[in-house]
Amino acid sequence: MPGIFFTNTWMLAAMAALAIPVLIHLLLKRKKKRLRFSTLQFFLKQDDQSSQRRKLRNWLLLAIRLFIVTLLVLAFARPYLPQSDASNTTGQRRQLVFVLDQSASMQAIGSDGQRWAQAKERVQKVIAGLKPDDRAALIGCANHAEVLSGFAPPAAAAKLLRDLQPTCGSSDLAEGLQQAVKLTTGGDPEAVATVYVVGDLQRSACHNLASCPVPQAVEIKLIAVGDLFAPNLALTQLQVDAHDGAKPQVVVANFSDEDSPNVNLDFSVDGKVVSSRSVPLKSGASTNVELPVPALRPGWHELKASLQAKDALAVDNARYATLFVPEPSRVLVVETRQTKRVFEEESFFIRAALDPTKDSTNSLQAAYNVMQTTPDELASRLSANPGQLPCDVVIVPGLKQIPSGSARVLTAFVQAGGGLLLFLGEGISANRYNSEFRDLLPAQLGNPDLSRDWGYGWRIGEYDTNTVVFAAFRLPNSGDLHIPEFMKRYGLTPTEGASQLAAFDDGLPLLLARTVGRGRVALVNTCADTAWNDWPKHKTFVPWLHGLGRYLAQKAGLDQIQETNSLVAGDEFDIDLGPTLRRSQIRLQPPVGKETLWTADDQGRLRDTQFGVPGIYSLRDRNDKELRRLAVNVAPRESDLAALPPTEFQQQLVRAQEPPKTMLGANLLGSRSNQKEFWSVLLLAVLGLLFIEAIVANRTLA
Amino acid sequence: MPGTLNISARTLAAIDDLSVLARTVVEGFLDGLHRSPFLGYSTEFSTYRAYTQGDNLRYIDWKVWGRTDELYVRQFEDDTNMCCQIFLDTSASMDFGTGDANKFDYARVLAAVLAELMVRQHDAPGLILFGEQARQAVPTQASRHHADEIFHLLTHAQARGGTHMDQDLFRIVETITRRGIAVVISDFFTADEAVRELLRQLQAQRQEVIVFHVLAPEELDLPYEGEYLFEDSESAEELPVHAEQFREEYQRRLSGFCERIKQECIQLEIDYQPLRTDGALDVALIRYLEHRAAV
Repeated sequence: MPGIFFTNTWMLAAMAALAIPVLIHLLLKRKKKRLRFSTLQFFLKQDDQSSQRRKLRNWLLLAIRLFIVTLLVLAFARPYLPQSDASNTTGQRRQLVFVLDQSASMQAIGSDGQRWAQAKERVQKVIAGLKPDDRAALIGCANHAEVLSGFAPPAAAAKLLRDLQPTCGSSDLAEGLQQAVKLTTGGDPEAVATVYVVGDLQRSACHNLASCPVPQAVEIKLIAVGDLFAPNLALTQLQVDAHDGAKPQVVVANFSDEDSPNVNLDFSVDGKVVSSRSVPLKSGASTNVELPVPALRPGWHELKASLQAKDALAVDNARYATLFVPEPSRVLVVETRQTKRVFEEESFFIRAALDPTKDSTNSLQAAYNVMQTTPDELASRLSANPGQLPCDVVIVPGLKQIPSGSARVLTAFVQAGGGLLLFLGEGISANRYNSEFRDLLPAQLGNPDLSRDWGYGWRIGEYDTNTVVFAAFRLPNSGDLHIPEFMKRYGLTPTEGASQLAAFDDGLPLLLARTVGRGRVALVNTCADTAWNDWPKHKTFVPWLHGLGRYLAQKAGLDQIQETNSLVAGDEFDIDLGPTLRRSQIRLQPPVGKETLWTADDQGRLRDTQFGVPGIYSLRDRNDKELRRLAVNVAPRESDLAALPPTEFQQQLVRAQEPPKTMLGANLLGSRSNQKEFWSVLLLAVLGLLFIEAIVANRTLA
Repeated sequence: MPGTLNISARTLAAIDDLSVLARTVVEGFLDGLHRSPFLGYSTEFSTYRAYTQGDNLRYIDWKVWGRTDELYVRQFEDDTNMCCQIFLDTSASMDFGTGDANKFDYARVLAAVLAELMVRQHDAPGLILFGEQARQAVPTQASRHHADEIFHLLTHAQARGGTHMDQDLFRIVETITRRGIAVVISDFFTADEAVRELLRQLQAQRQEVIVFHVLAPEELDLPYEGEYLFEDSESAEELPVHAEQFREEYQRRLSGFCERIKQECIQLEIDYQPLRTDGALDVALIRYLEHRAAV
């Protein structure tokens, strides 16, 4: 026997209005005047009876009024009787739509087994109870709601259901309901429409229910599987984008109501476990665990963090990331005073900062491959192999004498795509610089400016952290650039097209850059050693110089790394491989299974790619060169298995207002395809009761 | 024609001494009478008759014997020392009626005035109070002080309890052996049989009975509007009554009740006088004097 449901359940709160007739009854009763009379012997016989009748009438009136209020409230709450299974045997056809939650959480295993298996079993039972002329449709809810099967005979739906599996994506049941509503409204209008929502009712999948109004005529039934709370541990984030200065780390979360004192966390790079540790986790807490990433050779690397835990959902116990280590940039440093004591050389600090492991025998390759030359040999070094850049960046300290032809060679080098970093220094000629390097300098040099003593010098004021030059200082507490002191500098007038990347605290430019041809030129308004400043002695010098080197060498790739680590299983996205690969055949190697062949579009993009399984995917060109390595992970919100109680789910559903029916009879009976409304009957009853109440209330009894 | 005597409750409240009030009323009433046919009291010659052995020698008219040598005895009208019992209902139902029209106040004044009138006619008034209990409050006696005693008792009498016309009252009635007048002042809100029994008993005791049936205007007219919770003054029973809707039926029942009392009186040849408490008191006095003259 199905219960009575209400469209406007909140209206039932108006039952408090029942107090009104009771109060009226009590107040009227209290208002009766008392009179002491000599004798009641002339009243007794008949009036005793009439008094009883009057009492009876009053109680009857009260009951009628209470009943009227109750019926009014119930009518406004719009009650309806969903048609029960038994009622469907009367011959009306049924159209069932099953909205199947296929998200990763359905893989969770509880005390009753896997949620997906339970859900399938229960749906199969419902389908088995259908008659041959009934129809069933299936809608899968993973990253998107998809109609798996339109209205089909029960046997066909059952067959399709047998082969369905859960995905690793995350679902939004509201989308599924929308699809279901579309299906039912386009279906047989004479059939009884019922939508079954099948799943674990995970809260994260139900947050959007209010956005999908469900017509009154559509009955919503739930097939809820799994427990309301299931203990689960998960890795919700693996962060390796180190260009912000943050260390690689993984977020471990405990979505259960019990502490997990010892959870083993393994971290592997390229398939080798490099770290294994135990992580204590309190109930409902999450923690960041820093990962020790070893020095890596240039190229693509895959990182994997995994939890060794026996919990409800296994698929979120591993998280993947990829890391691209670029080839080292070749840097040619011009040294103006070569001596045996290298620390006295002008470029000593620069070389040491760019390649601290130079000449070590057992170290991995650094990010920069530093070469050294003299001002006189600069031109010959740069023009040794015409048509090919001998290095990525040339660093030139302040030159007292500019060798003839070097400016021309440097200009050609930059225009061909090289990077040039110019320092100033003692004894340079501003006029000579302005004339020789006029095509390169981002600023015209003015007069030198000298501070009176240490402690009175200039410091760095503003700097642009949006550029890769100062990206290492984006995060708080990542280095104080205001500490270095500058004693001497030149007045600078920026040229057209130059951009100021940093300035002294009085506003004079410290670092200016411009693009020349395909290359970049940067001018630092100080010397390369510690004669004019103490910056090389501070910790901020190395990351700044590395950032400046990347900027000048135009080494891209770090941004791509971030992109490739933010992919969620089941999502559709485009992969931009660059214009060089337009219309190329791309091979995609998944973590499991066979590789597939894709073709890049005219812009070199792979459109609407979708990776269903978490893991590492590799994109290769026709020559088997690895173009990109992608990490695909489970959506973090799938890890929290907390579910909505079915009653709460029903309460969150919003019923759509329907246009009034044209048939009066249909309105009065309120019969719809899958539910029977009877508010109109209640209103008729109210009218009848009001009529009776008027008669009873106006009846004059002695 | 006697003047109208309107006695208000406020007057009663202002005059604590009921005797003053009663005498004032009686004197005012008597002053208003002209050529009254009721002045037959005192010793008055009626006729002569022949002396027979045993007659009192005081009444022999010696002047007639001197002229005729016959012994004649003077006869007088026997109009003195009539015993008059006043039966006053002191049940709680008598304490009804608002303002001037309170039944008990009206009845008390009536009893006092009657007592004063009786004393002035050399009758011997007595007072019997009946209500919750019946008692011979003041025995019959013809003296000025005796009237004062009645006044005093009436002043302090209170209406309370039910109306019990039972054996207590009947035993008192049985003690009345001398022929006389019985004045019953009551609303008779009790069983019809008890009223009938009382009247019969009084008649059996050779009493000339006058019934003053006292009713307040509120009882007669039921001038209330709307629904009331009526409380019986004697039994404290409560009853919700819609006054205006029930008025007609009530008045019909009350008239029937009064008619039954009246018919009882007619059957027993008893004077029945209904009194409305907002009406004049002299109606009762005239009725009494007419009755007294007839005795």
